[in-house]
Amino acid sequence: MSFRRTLQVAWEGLTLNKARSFLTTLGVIIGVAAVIVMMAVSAGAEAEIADQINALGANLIVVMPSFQQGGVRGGPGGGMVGFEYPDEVEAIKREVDHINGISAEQSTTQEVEGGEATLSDVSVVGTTAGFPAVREYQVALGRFLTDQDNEREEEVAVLGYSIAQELFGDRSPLGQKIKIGSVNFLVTGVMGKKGVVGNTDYDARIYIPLTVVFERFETRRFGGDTLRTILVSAESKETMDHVMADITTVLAREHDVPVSEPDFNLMTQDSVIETAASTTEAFRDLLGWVAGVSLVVGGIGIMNIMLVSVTERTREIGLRQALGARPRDVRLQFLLEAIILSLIGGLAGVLAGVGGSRLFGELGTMRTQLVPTSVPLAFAAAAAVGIFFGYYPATQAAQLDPIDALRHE
Amino acid sequence: MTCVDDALGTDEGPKNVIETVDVTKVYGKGDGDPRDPLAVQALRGVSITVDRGEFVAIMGPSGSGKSTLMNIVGCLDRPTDGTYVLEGEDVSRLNKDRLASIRNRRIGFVFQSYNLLPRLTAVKNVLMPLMYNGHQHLSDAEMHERAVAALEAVGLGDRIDHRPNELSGGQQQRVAIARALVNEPSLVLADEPTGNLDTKSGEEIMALLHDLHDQGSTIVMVTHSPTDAAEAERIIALRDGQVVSHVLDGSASFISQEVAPDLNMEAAARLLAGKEEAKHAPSDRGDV
Repeated sequence: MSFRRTLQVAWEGLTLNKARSFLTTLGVIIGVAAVIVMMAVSAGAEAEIADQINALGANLIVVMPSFQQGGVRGGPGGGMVGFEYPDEVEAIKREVDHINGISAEQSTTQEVEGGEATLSDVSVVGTTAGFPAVREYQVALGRFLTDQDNEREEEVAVLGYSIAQELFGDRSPLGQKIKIGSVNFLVTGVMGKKGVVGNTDYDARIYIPLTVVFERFETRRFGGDTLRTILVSAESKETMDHVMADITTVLAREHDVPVSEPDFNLMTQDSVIETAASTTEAFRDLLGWVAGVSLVVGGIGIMNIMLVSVTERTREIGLRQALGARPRDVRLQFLLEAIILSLIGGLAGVLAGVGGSRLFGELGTMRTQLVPTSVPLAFAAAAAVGIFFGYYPATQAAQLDPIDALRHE
Repeated sequence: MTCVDDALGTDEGPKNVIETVDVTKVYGKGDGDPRDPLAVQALRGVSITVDRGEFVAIMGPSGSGKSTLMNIVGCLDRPTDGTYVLEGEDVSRLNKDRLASIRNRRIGFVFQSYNLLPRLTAVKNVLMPLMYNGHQHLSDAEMHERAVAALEAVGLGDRIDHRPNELSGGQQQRVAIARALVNEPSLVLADEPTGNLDTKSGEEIMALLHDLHDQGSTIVMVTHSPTDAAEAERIIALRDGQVVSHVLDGSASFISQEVAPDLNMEAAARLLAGKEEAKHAPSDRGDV
């Protein structure tokens, strides 16, 4: 029998019991939809992490001290060696080409009083004028810190968005006094919304000149003011490696250590993304397995129903054999039934999966990102399930003895 | 096989449609060794001949082997030993695929229980054998046309789109006969064709088989009914897996009168034994 006619016969067989055919495909629909949704969810999670890391700043290089055993500059017991401010920052600024901006950070936690509120444990960040550019952070109101503020150790503060809200509500904080620890500061600016990046809530921080942090809050170390974070943004992705090499050379010279054994680390978004990606990859693999298992369960459902169908239609099979159906005609008929079921299930599952991914995303509970390859992948998996789980029942049907089959009640 | 196929449908084909020589069938464990104590010998050397255009009835009590013979003649089963030549081609050792093809093109089956697919209309039931005919590449329209013609031939031209449950038993059996004829087989095998029918419908079906016979079809019918058997030109009686008698023209009525009331085949065999000797050997007969 021709393929087209076998297909027609298989279709007739399926429409014989529509409700059952539908319920059978449901297993595949759920399996395929699960594959697509799971992949969209994990891709969404990956994208979320990548976005957050990118939000740290474009082409950002973070320079941090590394742990030292018995280091000279970190103190007698060893520990982390910092960077000298402003000398080493200035050295980088002066000697390294292709940089867009440079800044430094030194945080402290203080009690803050201002407006109508008193807030404890506020993260107060000492930094420099280059900070907004390096972190891609916008000033909403007033102005940010200037180089002059740092040079003169001015007691001025720029508030994060939610701190400004908490302290002053709807009133403008500009020109207002706040008390950080025991020191009075003049508010010169308010930052725009940035939200949480990594584990840092930018909006809940207060920015003051770096020199003021050293002067008022952090104990001076011997040998100068030591910084624990320098931020450098390169001009472009292409110049990153070059900039990093130059920073290493400059700092190694300043610290008097060989370039091959620096006492500091350079981190980029890429290295952070890679670390994060390995976590999400494991997550995605797990979800993939879960979805794959549901697809296999769907396939077993198809096999089960096909076996029932073969038993129920034994007489029909016997008749077809008597009328001239060869074993392979019978096998193809039942195999096609299983494949049609799983392909329809696959198609409906793709629609359900794509729709489900969108819905999840729009409900806002989870970020989802449809993975284009997941659609053909899930569909092909459904077809493979149909062939794999349809083959056994179809072979059972093909091997029936026509005489027994015709006599079957 | 081409030369045999080419001979089909022409008058140059072999005179015998069916010729079995010493056919045995053993059901049992393993290879069917006759010495196997658990083996059941369903046929013990059956040699029959059916000529082109003959109408033959096969009778016999349950367990006589008539179903087994029917299955072998219908190419649904293969003999354990002996040969079966269908239209000059030895089909006793063919594989399943070849047997399927032979059934499709050369044999039309009529079953006691009609065996129509309830979901299909009459015309779709009738064209099923055409779908499995790989030798003719008929279009859907041609198939439909041939199926309708077959239904018209059995007097159901006005019922082509009825489903089996919308037809009477007699009409359903007519659909089944149309299905048996649609591939223009060399042999129509009817297995108790009137077994499920009331007397009147049964008579109609027998009349239809007669018509087909008159038009040149070769018909082999298995039956329990002496009345039906009497309609045939010749009766092959089986008992314990062996042919006990070939009853020729005219004898059929004898059997129905003398043996029919209790279907005592043993008595029939005894009665016929004497009669048979008076006649010439059955295989010599070929003057139909």
